[in-house]
Amino acid sequence: MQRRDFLKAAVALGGVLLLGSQLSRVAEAFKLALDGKVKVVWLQGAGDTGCTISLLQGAHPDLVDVITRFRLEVAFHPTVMAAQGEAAVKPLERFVEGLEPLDVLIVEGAIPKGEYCTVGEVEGKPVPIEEWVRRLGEKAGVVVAVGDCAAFGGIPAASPNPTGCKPVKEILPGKTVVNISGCPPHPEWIILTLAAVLSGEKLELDEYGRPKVFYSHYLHDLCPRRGFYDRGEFAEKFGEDKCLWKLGCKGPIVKVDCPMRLWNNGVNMCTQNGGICVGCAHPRFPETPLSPFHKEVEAVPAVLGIDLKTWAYGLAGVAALAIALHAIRRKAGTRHPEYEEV
Amino acid sequence: MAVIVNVDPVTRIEGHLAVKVKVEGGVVEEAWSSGLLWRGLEKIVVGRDPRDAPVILGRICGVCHNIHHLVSAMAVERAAGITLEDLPVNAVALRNIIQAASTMYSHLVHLSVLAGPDYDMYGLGMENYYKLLKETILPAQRICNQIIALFGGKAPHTEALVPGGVATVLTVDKAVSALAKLKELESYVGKLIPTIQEYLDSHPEFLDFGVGCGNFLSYECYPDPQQPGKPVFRNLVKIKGEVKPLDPGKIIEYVASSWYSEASAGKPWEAPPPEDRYGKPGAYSWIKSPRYEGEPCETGPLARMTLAGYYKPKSKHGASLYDRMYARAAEVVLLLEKMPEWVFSLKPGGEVWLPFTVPDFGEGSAFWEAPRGSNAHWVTIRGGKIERYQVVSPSAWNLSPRDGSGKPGPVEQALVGTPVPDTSNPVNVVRVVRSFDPCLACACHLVEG
Repeated sequence: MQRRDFLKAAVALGGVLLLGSQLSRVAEAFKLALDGKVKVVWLQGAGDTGCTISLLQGAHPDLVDVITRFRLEVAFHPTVMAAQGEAAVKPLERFVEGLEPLDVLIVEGAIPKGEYCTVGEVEGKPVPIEEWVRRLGEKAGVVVAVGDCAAFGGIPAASPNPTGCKPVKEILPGKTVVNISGCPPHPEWIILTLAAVLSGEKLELDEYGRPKVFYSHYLHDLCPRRGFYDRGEFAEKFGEDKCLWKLGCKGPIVKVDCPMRLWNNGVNMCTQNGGICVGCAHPRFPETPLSPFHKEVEAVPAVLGIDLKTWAYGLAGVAALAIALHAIRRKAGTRHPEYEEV
Repeated sequence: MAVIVNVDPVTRIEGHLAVKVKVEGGVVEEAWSSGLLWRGLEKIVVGRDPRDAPVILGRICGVCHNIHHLVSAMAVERAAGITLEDLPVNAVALRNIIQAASTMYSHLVHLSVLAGPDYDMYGLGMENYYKLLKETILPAQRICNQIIALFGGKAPHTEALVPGGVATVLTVDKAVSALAKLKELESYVGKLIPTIQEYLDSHPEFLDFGVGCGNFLSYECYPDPQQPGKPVFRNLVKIKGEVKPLDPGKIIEYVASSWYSEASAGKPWEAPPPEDRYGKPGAYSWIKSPRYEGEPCETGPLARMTLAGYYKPKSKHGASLYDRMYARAAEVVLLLEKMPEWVFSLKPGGEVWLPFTVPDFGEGSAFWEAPRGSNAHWVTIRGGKIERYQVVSPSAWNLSPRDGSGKPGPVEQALVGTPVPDTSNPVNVVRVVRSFDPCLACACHLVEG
């Protein structure tokens, strides 16, 4: 057991990976970034910064220190970094020019067509976010797409997609992108995934390129209101302490571990509170079958009309990722004998 | 000789902003503010079930999350003929609690994480800053979000703010837990706010610049749950020195300096959906220029606190960098004082929602304060679907570019006169810009922004 990576172990046990059980390993992983052993850039495209704000809500006393410093010391993070203007963009150019190797590129927000979103200027010309993602992504060891917008297009890419937004994977088709869905994602999904990536742990991804461990059970199956559903007690009005299916809850078609993890440090989650699940962790959010949000789902289709091929990362994705992670691990000086043959 | 200083990107704000200033003799002579991201979100809600609007438009901003969600739900309610008076008392009180918690969290993050580094962490230095961040600021903003989650399920982006009221099972233990969390928050705020205010007091030079256009605009918000006609903040404007009741009919948008066609200008509730025209001659921003009676207006904590009489600007100019920062800090204390009243007005087990039916046809609008200022949504429903949707957000007011008559926006005006002794380190420029707590998600993710 001791040699198995923690995400894989958690999946194997069929449980939910909780932060509390992995504190020391997570702290170690973030320290690698702080020591400068693993270089990280965090870019924002078309999004609302909710993912960054969600990350601020993650709290475990033992982790506060490393994660606080991590947020402040990544090479580039537009919301929290001290530098601005040219000084802020400088380190990005160093990575693009290959003067310094970039290990992890984290992207928050979808990638719109050139002129709709630019960050900084190079030689007097505004640089589209798409250019940054392509150039940095090609250099990066691992790319992580945080939140629905970066992972799947999300809100800005919803019909009619006024600014031609694309998910990161479409900008970097040859690259394995680790997707973390959710609008926003739970802070622990972000922290645990980044910890695995930073320390070069193997990460098992689902058919949407997401860490399997967070998205393997239907919310409905874990819902604290499940008992009401089983007894056929359905709320007709908001405020009633019953199953919310008839008010439009999408729990039956959304795979996510919110009921076991709970939000805001264990305070609550949408359906426990009495609001519907709108399916914000579903790759199709905010389109059908999630919208209209307040209309009940009639059946529970297996694949929901999603073209699985579009997201066919599958096992190939895992292998490609393992290679990239291996490089990071070697750099960080952490060794796992079982990976030597990868 | 004049020097042009271009700050792109302005970091530690929400979104994508660039600011260009012309410095002459160590002082800013002219300034340009450019919003550099456009998402066109209101086009996305056209044709949808009106109840989808709050879920989608709530995501205009993930920093002042919940406020666009709330204002969108209110606009949809108005279109169905539902007013504040029709809502259950619990719904009004819960919305106040969620909004106030969002606003306090947003201000705390702004004052410390976003603006703090511009002031050497209010004189504390970086090592003490880590301590403050770890032990006070992060826990404080986290508690605010926990209060939102208590009644809203999760934060950011609660799904509890629905047309007709609040989707929450209201229990006694939630109310009790909220009071306990408020008590804890009070101890953090008691440490943090005085530190910031004392620092500002020891820097009288902040009273002399960052003045701005002198016009203030505020919508109402935080109605008394028992008497919704009595809000904490009020619909008021101060134009050219005169304070008067606000008339939403006097809000017009201009696009002279914005990357949109001329047809996209006009009254927000009449203008056709905007057509983007990137590269339009003379334009330099994705933000439009909203004006009241043709005048740019500052909006935000300084404007609403001053107009409602909770704050008196100390600068002889009527506004300043100091006042903008001080009023934001003061609002945290004001809201913390108001919160317990709203929690005590909750009736656990009582109604939280007025059954809401989507109207076949209807027009509705809502004007409400967000953490960063005045936020307005307009919706038209036809055949039970959204036909058109418009938003004029707070940062659109503050960060707007020059209008048709060449009048600069509030931030552009506030930058004029800012001392820049060293053009390689324009710290006062970013202090002034950040004092407005710019939120670009608001300002130009929207067509109307």
